[in-house]
Amino acid sequence: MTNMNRYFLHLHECGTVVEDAEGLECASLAEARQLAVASARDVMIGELREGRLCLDCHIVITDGSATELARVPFRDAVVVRGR
Amino acid sequence: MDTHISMISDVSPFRQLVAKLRRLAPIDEADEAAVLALPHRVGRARARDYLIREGSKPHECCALIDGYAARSKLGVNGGRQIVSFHIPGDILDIQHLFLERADHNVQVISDATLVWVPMAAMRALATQRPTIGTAFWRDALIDASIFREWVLNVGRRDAKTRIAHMLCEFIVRRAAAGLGTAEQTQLPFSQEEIGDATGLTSVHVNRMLRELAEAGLIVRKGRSLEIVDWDGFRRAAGFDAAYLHLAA
Repeated sequence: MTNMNRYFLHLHECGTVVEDAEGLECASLAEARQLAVASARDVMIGELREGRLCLDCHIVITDGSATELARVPFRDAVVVRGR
Repeated sequence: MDTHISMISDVSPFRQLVAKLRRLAPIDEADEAAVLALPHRVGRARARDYLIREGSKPHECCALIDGYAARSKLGVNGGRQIVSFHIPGDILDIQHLFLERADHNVQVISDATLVWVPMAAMRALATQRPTIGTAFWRDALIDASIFREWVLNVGRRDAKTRIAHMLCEFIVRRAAAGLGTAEQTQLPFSQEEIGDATGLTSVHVNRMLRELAEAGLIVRKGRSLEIVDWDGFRRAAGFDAAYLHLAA
């Protein structure tokens, strides 16, 4: 059976932080990072539907002791073409 | 529909189910007695336990005594879509009375107690007691109405409205079952479960719950979530309970 760990995905957007108090169980940091990429895209979809988009936001992944393990910028979660 | 005084004791495993059947159809004392006489076993489940797996052939029908459950389906990529939530009194697999193979999963989302009844006995109850058969029919039809609303919810509402609507439905259904008013409700869902029910990631859910909290509609304490302004919350959800047909 895979050993699951709890990772916390905190959303940093335009000066505010949406703290993740619950976390998600993932088999590895790589899986948590995949979830963070999917989450960034999901949040961006919501923003685009409102007619706006900020690529400077990012998601910080921490463990249970609040140690930062990785950072996923929105800009890196999508391929942007055009000017 | 409340035409007689129930003789059911508070500890009967069928108490919640009978209460639900009485909301669905004018069952009489003989109907209640027939429910109480059903062969059964009472079982417990831990949060996240599967009760029914897609593809299985259930031989027993189960109803929730306490705790909460969800029906779900899995995509080929492993993503889970929750298609309904269930509260005490709900029969979780009434479709298996007449459909042999499970087409979705049923999972408890909290520790739960259930009453299991052999499928043949439940089927006989539905055919031998016409008013109970009517209650089962209405239950299945209201289920279908709820699924239609969920398609609208996931397909056409924005993230915040979608989450608020899903939570409103749960609160109204709990209240209809006599399980507490909106302001007394502590919602049992994780962000992940709300996300799986609304087609959103838990990060997006967290962000929307924060907006609802900042608007003074809900209060969040750790994992628990409480409604503090029910009228405002309903308005934010655009919630109209007509599709629940009063009995759900």
